[in-house]
Amino acid sequence: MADFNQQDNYNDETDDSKVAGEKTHEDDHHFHHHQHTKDEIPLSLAKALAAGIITAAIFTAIGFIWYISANYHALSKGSYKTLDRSALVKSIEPSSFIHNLMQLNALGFVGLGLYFLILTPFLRVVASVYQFFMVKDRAFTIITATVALLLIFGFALGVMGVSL
Amino acid sequence: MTPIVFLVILFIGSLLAGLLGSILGIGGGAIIVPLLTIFFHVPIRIAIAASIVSVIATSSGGAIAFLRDGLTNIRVAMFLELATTTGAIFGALITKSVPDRLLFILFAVVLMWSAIAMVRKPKEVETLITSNDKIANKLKLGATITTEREGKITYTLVKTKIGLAMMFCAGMVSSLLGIGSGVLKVPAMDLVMRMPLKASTATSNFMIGVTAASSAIIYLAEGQVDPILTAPVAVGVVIGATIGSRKLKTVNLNSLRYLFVVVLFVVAVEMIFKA
Repeated sequence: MADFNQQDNYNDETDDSKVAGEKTHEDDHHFHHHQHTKDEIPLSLAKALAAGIITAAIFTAIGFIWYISANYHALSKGSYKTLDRSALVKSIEPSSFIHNLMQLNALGFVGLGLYFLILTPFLRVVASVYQFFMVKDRAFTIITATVALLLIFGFALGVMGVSL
Repeated sequence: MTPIVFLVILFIGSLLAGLLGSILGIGGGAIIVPLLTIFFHVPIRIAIAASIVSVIATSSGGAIAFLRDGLTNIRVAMFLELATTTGAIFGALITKSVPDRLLFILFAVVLMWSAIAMVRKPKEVETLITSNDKIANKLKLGATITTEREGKITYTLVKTKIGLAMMFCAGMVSSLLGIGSGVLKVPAMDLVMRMPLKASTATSNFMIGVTAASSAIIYLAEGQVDPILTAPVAVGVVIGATIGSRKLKTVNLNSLRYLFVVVLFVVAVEMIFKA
């Protein structure tokens, strides 16, 4: 997108060669390049994703209040330590979460919010891959795509229950 | 304390942690984990899992204000995230082999180390406009920022390889301890790579979300997250971070540092007692 264009005037450079008509001295080259304004920052993207965080928080809050209301009596005695939390913890695992979501219950909503919260930074990375790709910044397309793949890899390891 | 009272107090505490965390660029986790373990006696692993999920909210809540101020260096953030995400995944995979006591001690050590690093720093590190670091030059990692106190500052980075190594550790510590580890990321960028403090804080804040997400997703997929405990923490942090992120530019740099150091020391001492 246009946001990245100004910042990446030199994107087509893949080595240390200079762009004709631009700075010839390397130090000047970097000095010149590094000057960018805040207009280049993808603010709209940040806003969209911050809205995603707020949405996630709202889903979480609805599910939480719903759960408290539905279990008011059980939660009004004893302490949090005495509660059986194993079922709660299990409810957030991917398979149980999808089941709860289909049932449209309180834990399904909490899970939706929490998954959404975690998904937001991932989407930001994916959007960055797209943006760098659009301005033909090969190095940063590869860098951001690698970060995105690492996140997917981590999720897969978690689902498989891999630990060292 | 009944579970309802506990959850309400937890929500308020998390809101304050999110507020403080976003002002200091420490992601809130450094406050959430001690809050849960020291004050509420929640087992440390449940606290860590709850914290790491909510840490994402601090980062994203603060991102807009930092981006609007033009302080965030997205190229540096993305480049260093290669190391932080790898470190975070590694940390999440080894966490089951790490005893609780070691987690408390590691927590205290990380906080103490950060506090000392910040205290020893006499003044703002002089930024560089040229660099002999090949990676920094090739990837064009420098930028120009504008702050109210110092005006326009142009900088480029040095020692990117050391920075990457430190970021791997920061990512690992982030997932092991459930903190954003801005406490490690900021000094790595600021003291080692010579990035201006405010740019380091903003860039660290931007990175924290991705780092935290990479380990949070593992904890969530493995079923280590208690949703009813995490919900008030996450919602509180979102609200606190959203309020706090609007305040950064008005906070004086020295008072920011002073506050940062005091918070780190108090938390570290508490964690040692807990261990």
